[in-house]
Amino acid sequence: MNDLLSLLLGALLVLNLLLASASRLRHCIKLVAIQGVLLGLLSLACAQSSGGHNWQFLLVMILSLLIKGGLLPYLLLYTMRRISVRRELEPVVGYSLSLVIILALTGGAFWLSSITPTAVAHGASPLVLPAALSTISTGLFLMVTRRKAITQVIGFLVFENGISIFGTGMMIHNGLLVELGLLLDIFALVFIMGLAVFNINRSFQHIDTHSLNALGD
Amino acid sequence: MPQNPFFWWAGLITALLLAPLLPGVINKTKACFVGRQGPSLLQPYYNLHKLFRKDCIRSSTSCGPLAWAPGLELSALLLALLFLPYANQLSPFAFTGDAFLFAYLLGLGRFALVIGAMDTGSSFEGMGASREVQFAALTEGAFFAVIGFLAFASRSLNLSEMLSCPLPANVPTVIAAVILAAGIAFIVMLVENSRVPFDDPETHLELTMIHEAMILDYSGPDLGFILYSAALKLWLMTALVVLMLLPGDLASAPVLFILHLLGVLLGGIVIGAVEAVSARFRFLKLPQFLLGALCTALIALALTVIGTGGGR
Amino acid sequence: MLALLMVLLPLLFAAAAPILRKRPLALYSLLPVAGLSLCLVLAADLFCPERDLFSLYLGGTPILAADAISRFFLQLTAGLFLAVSVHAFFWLPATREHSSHRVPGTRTMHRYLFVLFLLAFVSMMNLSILSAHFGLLWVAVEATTLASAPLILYHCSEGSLEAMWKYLLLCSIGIGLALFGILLLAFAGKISSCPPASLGFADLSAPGVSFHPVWFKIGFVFCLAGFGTKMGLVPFHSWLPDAHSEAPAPVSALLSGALLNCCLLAVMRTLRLAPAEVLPFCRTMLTILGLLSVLVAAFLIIRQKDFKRMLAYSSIEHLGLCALLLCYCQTALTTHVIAHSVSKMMLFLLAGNILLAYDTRSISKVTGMFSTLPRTACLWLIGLFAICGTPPSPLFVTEYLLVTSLPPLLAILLLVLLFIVFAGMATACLSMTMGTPAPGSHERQAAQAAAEQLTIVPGAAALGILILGYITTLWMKQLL
Repeated sequence: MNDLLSLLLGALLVLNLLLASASRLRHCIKLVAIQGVLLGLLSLACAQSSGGHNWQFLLVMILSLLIKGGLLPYLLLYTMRRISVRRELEPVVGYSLSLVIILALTGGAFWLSSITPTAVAHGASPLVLPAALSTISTGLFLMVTRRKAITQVIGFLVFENGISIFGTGMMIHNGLLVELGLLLDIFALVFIMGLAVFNINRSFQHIDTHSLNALGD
Repeated sequence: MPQNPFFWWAGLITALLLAPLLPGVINKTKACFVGRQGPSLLQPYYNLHKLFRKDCIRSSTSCGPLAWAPGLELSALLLALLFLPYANQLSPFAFTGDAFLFAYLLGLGRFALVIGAMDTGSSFEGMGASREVQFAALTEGAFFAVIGFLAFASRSLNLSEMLSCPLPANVPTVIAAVILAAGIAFIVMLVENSRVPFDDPETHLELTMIHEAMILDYSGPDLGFILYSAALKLWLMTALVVLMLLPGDLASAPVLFILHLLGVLLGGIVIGAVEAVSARFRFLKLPQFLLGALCTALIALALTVIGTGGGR
Repeated sequence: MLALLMVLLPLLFAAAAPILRKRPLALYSLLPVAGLSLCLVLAADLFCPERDLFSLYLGGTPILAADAISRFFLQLTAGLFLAVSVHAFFWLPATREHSSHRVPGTRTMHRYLFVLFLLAFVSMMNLSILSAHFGLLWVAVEATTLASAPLILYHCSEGSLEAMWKYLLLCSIGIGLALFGILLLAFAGKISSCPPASLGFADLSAPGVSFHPVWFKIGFVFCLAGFGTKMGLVPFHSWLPDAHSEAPAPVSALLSGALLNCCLLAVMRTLRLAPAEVLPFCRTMLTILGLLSVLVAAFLIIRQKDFKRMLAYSSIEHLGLCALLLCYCQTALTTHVIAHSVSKMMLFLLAGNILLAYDTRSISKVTGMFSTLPRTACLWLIGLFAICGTPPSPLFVTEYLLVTSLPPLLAILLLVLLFIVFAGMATACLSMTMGTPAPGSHERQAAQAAAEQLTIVPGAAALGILILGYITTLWMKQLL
């Protein structure tokens, strides 16, 4: 099962690079959906290698697979169609440079996890920490450098997925109630953000967040 | 793993003999995908036969390279062929560091083509040469990252050992890395051989050509040399990808020999399938794509370094 | 069971709000919920203080529980909620009536939606105070963001959209970091010599449980950044002035008075887990953030042109002070929190009245409040003196205690900063209350009369602060 685990983590690492260079929103959303599915499989692989899984765990896994791999991407696609925005034009940082920056961030993640050796000694895959850190930083990077409100939502999902990679990879069990709460929160967040994007689009006739700077000191 | 030089020599001779078959396989696959019958599998052999019977016409503005470039390219590729471990048998010519010689022999072949193309003085060929060099510069990074990955995974700088060593069984991350690196090597192969998402070997529009634009002025046996070296290069790179995916301790030498051969032919079918279902990328998109390939290859490298304990 | 009731009661009424949408009854449901919640928490403390009424177990582990500090926060939240809902009951119709000044084309949120989100917001705040599990705490704090974000959009203007977007995005990122921090803390426990049984607070702080110090530090930094974002600590504060100034007055009052406290509680809970060897590190981090907050808030207050933003920066300043109190003088923390919450709530409600009467948030355009809005002006000045910590205010006592327990250099710096805050706020408030009213202000006489009617709740709050000030002065006499 360890092979499957490292395959999944490697795929998640490459997914970050793809996300950095994707300019079509539909493509971005598809990548996030794939990330959600990989995350579900990751929790399965982790449970398999640790041997502890029961119906509660399976329930959470299936729900998270459905929500992160299906429902949220569908919501995003729906929003995208309704406000008819297809591409992220003129990102703050160009796509090639984004790639290099994400690569540098991934390198940084590998370096950071190499100087904290305790993670490996406790049965977790050595790739979990780099994969989680690099996904988290990719999400933050997307939120900072993309202009469209909807891409920022995508960036947030990537960020959230990165945190979940850490949680599942390190096999930290929160219990059924908390896991369900987490999923519900993320779902509600994307839902409300989608509504906000609608409203921004109606008030400003576009969803360029760089014009949202009237307030401030 | 018992060494059997016989299978290595058999592999080399197969490569020399069957190389023109590979473009035939690709074309046949493409034809099947679109529902045509397509040219015969042996069509490349007929073409070569036809070209070698003809006379050579060379441009009067040429000052020499046009004449010797095809020979130089072919000999560079023939030399490079000597370093691959066919059927996972170590090459008798292998030495430490031959991976770099291998890479630079490929580079020398490209140099010969480019200098020949520049020599004609035609603007189309100059343009093709310029593009070839630009993309080669971007691809080489990814190629060297793959070589670096292989070197790290096998702890060797010897191409034969790199490609034929068994996988370190206790390092799970290496499997992920091998798959990543083989994917990148496949992409490098497509770029180096001017296959579809990067260049269209069948285009008739000089403005969009890369490789084909460089050889517009060749004719007769010269063109035959170039076509044969292109086929050899295709075989060489496909074999590289196949060898990366074939662990050396999988089976005995004869079985490996068959597997290797089947793998290369299967590679031809995969290339044909990729060509049939995808369209050529825009030129502007290519550098970004190649950069992505380089980054992915570096991640594969990082996976191996982590998995094997960072060389400590 | 009581804990479950505190969470479910507002939630049930929130769910019922859409049923009442056709009738003008929607607003009425706020009052019974608020009144009932306050009665329940007070009764629990008055009549059976020794019985554990708040614990709720699921499968043997506590899900909800209340210790002394969370009971205090619960009572404070319930009290504020009651005050705010009484105010909102009169304020909402008044603003709707006098909202001719709104830009045409912008709509106001439907009243039942307002009630729905407000009740959900309060329910989630109660959950975050009562949760006995670190993960559940996170879920609740994130849910408060989600429930309160639509409330900012009450007047659907471009400014409020921008504020809401920033609030949603920045707080969600911050809370995401906190989740990462919680997972890191869990990991720090998992790899230690004596791992905790679960992420419940009881298990985490059980005797003998240890954490890996390096990972605990990393986790604490992330938790602090995350909950600090929601607390409005500098440098994670940039959403706070926008959200608090764009939200309608009752919502600003709750955001500032109650929500910030919930996040303070989360930071407190995290700090309590710190093993002895990393405690100095955690306190240093908290002190740095607290001082930075006071510093930045002080300098932004003196150049502020918008009175609601000024109040928002004052909240940042006070949460910074709370962070310092948490490190140096925990005995005064609860007094500070309650005094700040009540006076800030009063000030935000008054700011809503001024906005209603003058139709502007600009300090320079509001003049002569003593002649146009005498009651509001008096309360506004009382609020100013209370929040700045001038002697009858309980904040004077807590700030005095803080300054005396700080190292001398920090104490001097803090005193200077507090003086700057006082100067900045006093200049603004005095220029608003004194002078002659601007020439155009007679046209809004109806709105001004309506605003003067809305001073019952702020007046009661002022009275409460004075009483509290008297009590704390007695307490200080004892201490000295």
